[in-house]
Amino acid sequence: MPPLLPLILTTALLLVLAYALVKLGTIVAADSEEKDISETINSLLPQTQCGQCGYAGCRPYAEAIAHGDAINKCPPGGLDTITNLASLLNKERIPLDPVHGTETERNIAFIIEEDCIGCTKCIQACPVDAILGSSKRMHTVIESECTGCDLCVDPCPVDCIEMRPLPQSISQWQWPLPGTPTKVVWPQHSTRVGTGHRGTGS
Amino acid sequence: MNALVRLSRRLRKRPGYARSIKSLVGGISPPLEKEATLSHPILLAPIAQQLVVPLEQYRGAIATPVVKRGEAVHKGQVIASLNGMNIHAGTSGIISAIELRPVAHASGLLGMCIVISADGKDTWHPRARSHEYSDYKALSPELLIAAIRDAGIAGLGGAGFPTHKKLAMQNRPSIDTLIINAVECEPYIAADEALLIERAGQVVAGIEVLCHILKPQQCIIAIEDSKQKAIERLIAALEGTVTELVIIPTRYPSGSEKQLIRILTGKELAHGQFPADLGIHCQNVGSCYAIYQAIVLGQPLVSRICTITGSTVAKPQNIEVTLGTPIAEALALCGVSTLAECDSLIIGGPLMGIEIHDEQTPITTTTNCVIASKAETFSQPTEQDCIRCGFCAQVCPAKLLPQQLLTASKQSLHDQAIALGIHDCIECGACNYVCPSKIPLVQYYRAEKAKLRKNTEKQQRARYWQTRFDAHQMRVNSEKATALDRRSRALSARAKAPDAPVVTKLYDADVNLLKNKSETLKAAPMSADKTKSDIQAALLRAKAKKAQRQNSTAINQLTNKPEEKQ
Repeated sequence: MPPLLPLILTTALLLVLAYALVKLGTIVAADSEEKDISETINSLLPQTQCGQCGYAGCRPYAEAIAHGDAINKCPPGGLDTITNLASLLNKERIPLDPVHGTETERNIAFIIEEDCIGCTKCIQACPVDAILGSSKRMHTVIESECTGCDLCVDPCPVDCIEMRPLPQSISQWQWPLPGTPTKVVWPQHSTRVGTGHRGTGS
Repeated sequence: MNALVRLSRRLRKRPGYARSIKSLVGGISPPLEKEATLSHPILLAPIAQQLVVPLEQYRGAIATPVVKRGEAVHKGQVIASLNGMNIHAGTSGIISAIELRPVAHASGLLGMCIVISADGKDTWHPRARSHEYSDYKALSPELLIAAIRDAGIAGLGGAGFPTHKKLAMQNRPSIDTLIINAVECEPYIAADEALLIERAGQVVAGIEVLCHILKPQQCIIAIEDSKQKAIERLIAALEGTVTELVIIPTRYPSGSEKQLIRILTGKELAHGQFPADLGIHCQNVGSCYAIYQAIVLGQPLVSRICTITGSTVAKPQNIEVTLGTPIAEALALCGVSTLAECDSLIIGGPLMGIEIHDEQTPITTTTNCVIASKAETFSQPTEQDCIRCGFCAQVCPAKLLPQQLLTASKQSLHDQAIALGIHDCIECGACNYVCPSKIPLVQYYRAEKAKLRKNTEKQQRARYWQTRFDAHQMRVNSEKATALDRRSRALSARAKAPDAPVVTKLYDADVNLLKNKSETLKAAPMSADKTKSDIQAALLRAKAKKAQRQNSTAINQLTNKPEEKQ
């Protein structure tokens, strides 16, 4: 009689091993795939790190979306981000959840310098190191680096930080939708207010 | 059929009809409204008391001034420069200011300008006209392109693309076709036509310079068949040159660069492609005249021909005006008694121009026309719903589907808008013109294009911010780790010798930090007491502010309550 038992045992062991390997492989693959998806989602988010979505930054929210959270919790991204996420994840394009805020133009933090006491609390709160200053010295915001996340406003003990809209300039100006009156800014010259649009062709 | 062929052959013998051309896709034929201005000769406008020269160049690039306030300048002197492209003083006088002034921009925002107060003498700068290249045929193209750049010439047709950049587009296939655009197809605008009627010879001389620079195999000048007088002058002026005159049917927007190339050569430009990629180079007749002035006369670009017209203008005509002249001066010259009469001021034509809100806006290189009219002439009626008549698709010269583009634009469906070819829209306004529901389609497309641009910027910013955030996190983590490390060392030291005083090893960084701190404290002029009192005062101010805010919200709540009940 051939040694059947060891043969069976070896085969069984091999089978179990193979199964374990395949299982492990799929787990690893699924894990890396998930990481890929959350990475892609993260690249679609505006990276303001404002936390208005309820998570501690853009990457945590991206991971939450990858696990099935709603895609309409990002006010800085607005409708465009929702559209991009919807087409990536094959979901429905839904309006922004008003619980998390409304879509606004990009604002910039501004420190009222005569009120600043140099406590560095805003510097610690800034997620992108956009505030310059040191202890007991006046702080200021580097305009080009500021994401407008709002996180520095609350920690300020003297309330000297305001969110201000970016100053408008000709090079940044974009055509508005029809019916939006353009602003004429020089009071002594502003005699008319129009839409700026031509092309009525009548 | 034979009769038709014979007729076409006979017609082809007439000058301007020899080439077989394609017809424009779509297009419209609005009333031209050019006769009134063309019945007068070009009027040489007197120099205004004040010239306002905007520093903004093509697409937001800002030139750097090379003069100071209070400096005396002469006509033709360089007052600002951007990458070698110069802006010149239009007259002699004093630089009275360099400040924000209203400029010809749809936003109504102010732009940085150099203001020259004229001294009335209008004397040329001694070196402004010293570079005369009347024997330019012996000179290299590079030298001539540099001369064109120095003269400050930028597309006088209205787009304002720097001419030297267009001429010097390197690493592209060589130019075999030079197209001179005399197809001024938009209603009201007659500046190029007036120029050809009076100065066709000079324009042709400018074309000769271009031919010398580019050495094309063929040179075509295209003009619409409605401009009979200009055609006559051109035929006479073109005698003995290799330039071919091509007369095309009058239809808007045949003068658009892409459309004209298709009409003349049958080639079509893809989105993102330049005419040079197809071996074609286009120039406007106004630019040719400026090139003639720069090369043959050696004179920088300080004036242009501009059509002043509209229902409130008593004497509509074409004027040769110094760049920087306020529009109010030009209007006064053409018999606009009070500016209050004009309800709308348009720079450019009625279909593609922009509405401006200030009559002190200066005339620049690209200002080919000013239309001052009563409100009712170009009023925008209330927009109605789309009735799906399809007229817009019939007239679209870019073969787009304006209706579907409108839906995509209105709903911010960006991918769909791109797929429908929004970037191929030339914003000619033909769809607006025919729309029975008076939908301002082009405005929606412009807004959609703006959104697309904004989106790309947003994505770029997001990528940048992500790197900043990652760097921030790395810094925070390493700081935490250092602190933890220090703490554990201190604890272990204490455990070894519980009675010894707590001494932790000071790292080099900490030593530096302490040094810096003591130095800055030494350098600080204010005493510790003063700092303290300042902080106290700031805290008090903040408290007062908070209290005020709370008060105001409380008042709001009180005042809002009865409304809510209602």
